Amino acid sequence: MSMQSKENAYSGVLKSVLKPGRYTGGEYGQIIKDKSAVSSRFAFCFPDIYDIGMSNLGIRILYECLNREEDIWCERAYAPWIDMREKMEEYNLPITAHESGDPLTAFDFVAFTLQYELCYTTALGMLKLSGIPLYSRDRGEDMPIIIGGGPCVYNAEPIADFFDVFSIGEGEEALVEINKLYIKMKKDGSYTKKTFLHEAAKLEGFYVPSLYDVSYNDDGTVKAYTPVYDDIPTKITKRIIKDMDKSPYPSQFVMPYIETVHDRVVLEVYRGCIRGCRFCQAGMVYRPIREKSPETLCEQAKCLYKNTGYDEISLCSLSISDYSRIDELTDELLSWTEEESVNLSLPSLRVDSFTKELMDKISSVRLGGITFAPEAGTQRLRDAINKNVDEEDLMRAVKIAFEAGKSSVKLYFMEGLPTEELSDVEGIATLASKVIDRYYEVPKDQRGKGVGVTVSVSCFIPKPFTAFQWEAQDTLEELERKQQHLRSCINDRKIRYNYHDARVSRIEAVFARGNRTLSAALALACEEGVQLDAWDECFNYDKWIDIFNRTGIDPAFFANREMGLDEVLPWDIIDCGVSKAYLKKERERAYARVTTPSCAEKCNGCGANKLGGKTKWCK
Amino acid sequence: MVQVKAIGERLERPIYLRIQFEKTGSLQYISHLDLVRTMHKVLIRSRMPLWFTEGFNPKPKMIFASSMSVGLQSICEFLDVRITHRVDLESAIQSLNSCLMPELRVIDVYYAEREFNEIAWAEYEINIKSETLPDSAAKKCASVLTASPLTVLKRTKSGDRDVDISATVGEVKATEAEDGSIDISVFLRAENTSFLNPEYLITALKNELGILSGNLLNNTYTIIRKAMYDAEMRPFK
Repeated sequence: MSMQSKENAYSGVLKSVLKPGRYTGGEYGQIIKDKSAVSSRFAFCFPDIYDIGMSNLGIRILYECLNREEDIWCERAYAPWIDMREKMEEYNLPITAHESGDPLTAFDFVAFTLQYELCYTTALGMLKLSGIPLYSRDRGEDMPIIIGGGPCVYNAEPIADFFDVFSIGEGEEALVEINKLYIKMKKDGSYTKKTFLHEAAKLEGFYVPSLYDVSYNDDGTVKAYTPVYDDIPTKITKRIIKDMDKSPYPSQFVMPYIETVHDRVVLEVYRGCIRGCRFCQAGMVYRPIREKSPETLCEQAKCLYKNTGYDEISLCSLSISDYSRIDELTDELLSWTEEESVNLSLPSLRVDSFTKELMDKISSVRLGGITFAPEAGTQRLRDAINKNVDEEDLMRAVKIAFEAGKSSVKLYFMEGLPTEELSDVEGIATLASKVIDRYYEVPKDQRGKGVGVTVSVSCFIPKPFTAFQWEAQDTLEELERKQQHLRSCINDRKIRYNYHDARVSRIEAVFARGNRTLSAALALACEEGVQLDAWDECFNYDKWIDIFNRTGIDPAFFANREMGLDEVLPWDIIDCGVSKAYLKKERERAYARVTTPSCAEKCNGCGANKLGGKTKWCK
Repeated sequence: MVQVKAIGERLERPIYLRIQFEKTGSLQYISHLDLVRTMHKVLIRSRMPLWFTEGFNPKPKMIFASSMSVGLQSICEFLDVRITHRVDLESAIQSLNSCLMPELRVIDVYYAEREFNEIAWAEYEINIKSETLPDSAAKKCASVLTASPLTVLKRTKSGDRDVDISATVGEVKATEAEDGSIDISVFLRAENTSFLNPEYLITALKNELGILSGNLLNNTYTIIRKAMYDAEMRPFK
């Protein structure tokens, strides 16, 4: 019997844990099909708890795409919180999908969307709780196909030994294709797991890691990736949706009963980013830039609003103010949202596009806090990372906010950036002080009461497919020293200083640039109950160091080593569109402190245009 | 999804529509606030002609007869909603249910005549499955619950303290069901000022009789609110 059954069989367990509504399913908007009438059952797992997983737009879109197919049923599953996990281990309760209540072993595919490196152990933990062997080589014909997707699969090597196949890039069409292949082979009798995976490897955008042998040099760097068959690609090119206006988008969301994050209508406005900040992986891997038209977006917004009843619509993109038709879109949306008492919200805006008009239009801007992301404290460093933000623009933007009566501003920065000097770190404090000065320049009767600037500093992590992918992360000691140094520079009580735990960033860096030798560490971590690393309550740095020691891993090899420009990188097996030559060039420009203009100003030839599609700025 | 049909002109003074609904099964695990948020969205989806508050953050006006804690099921909940137009009552039930899942089901929709503060008693049906039931469990349960004083540790904003709840407990009937579980039917005070959460009865039984201890799969209980009554024990609607 399932957790979701109305007979209350599990009520004893559910009443003993926090927020039992996380586990019970039955939400409005879920898709229920007759399991005997479909040919492929797909369990889409989010490797974190329900409260977080429900907000994931990727699952919402793919849930829609897969369930549109009559012969496929896509359901959802999430990781249990610590208290529930303990009960599940004690009473031998497996992870079950929210729609049917069936355990993961009842499915043809078990999919994980890998959004951040620290979720790897949680994903493995879900397999373990389901009685599914971790290593793909240990799984028999009776076990589901374990498939992974999401941003982390651009370097999936640390988890490659646990997954049968990865979907690289955008999954709307790809996931339907792999399901159809599976169904066809099952029907015509040609299916065995081995032959299926071989055929899947021939589909565009699918990486079957077991079909690529990895050899290493004596120094531990990768020597080569060798496909075991002649008829599979030597490099896997990511999939993209060519025409965003034609791409399926849900008209209905599964509506959580309990409180979850980002619980509102989310509209994906466009993919990619024109800015090319040199630390940013998303800006590179979502290229080429493809926009949806305002007409399509308004239709999607209205439809979702009617079917969900949410009172907030959020426009989602990497840099929303760079959408070429943003004014048209916001005006069209505001023509009905105000009447319906629906708030329009935008994620953080670039300082150069922050205007009084925008403040007045957008409730989230009007009502919420003001956030900007200068990322670096000095113009010199901002130029090096290609975050083309002038101090003047920032000052102008905060002045607009203060003049409108706002008195608190949040500024995001990073430390440990390549080419950084101590004076750049000190520049953060100087910038924050200048913002405070601007507040006092506004007449007393116009400005709000009690100014406060929050400076939030995270640690730089070198990410695959960025100009900084070869850079070493600062050592833990360096990162912590800089954090403390900045603290000593901030003496104004009106400036609040937050910084992220550098040890978390270090572990992220290890997995971000890791290779397959890390699988031993992940397997051991899973065995020892390491879970939910993205949560402060659960993350244990010393345990990770211990695990690395016991599995012969030197974390510095991945996090703190400057990688060779001619080295075979673990993620060279993937082609994300942007060329390595372009990234090399961008790295040189970074060291020369030369900026690169945005795609809207000039096409810089990153290479993503070779993927085709209805692009906005590509030449 | 079927829309609620508004009838006639916008009313000069908005009125309250009463929605009688059930909350059962897996829906017992959501909190009262979750329920409020859910109903808000249901009303929007069904296109109920809601009256909104003025000001920066317009919200509809919803009044619930009582709040339900996590773990409580009910087949007699009431929600008053302020509306700007009269609606077609027959189809409104269907409309609302088309925006809902079966475990949260609307059973009636009408223009309210009685006030919530007339509610004085609530009738509950409790079922207890336990490996640690004593002999003559039904009789023992009944006598624990009808005892005076009946002291439980109550959690309040000002701290935990021992409270005698016997005055809030009305008629109690306990029987043993065919499968060995205990069925208890009990009336509890449901006025604003002396509302008793039925979970306290379970606590009292646990403390006095040691029931429901052990394996969580074999020791479970359900609480369902069956009906509400006024001070004269007439059914409330």
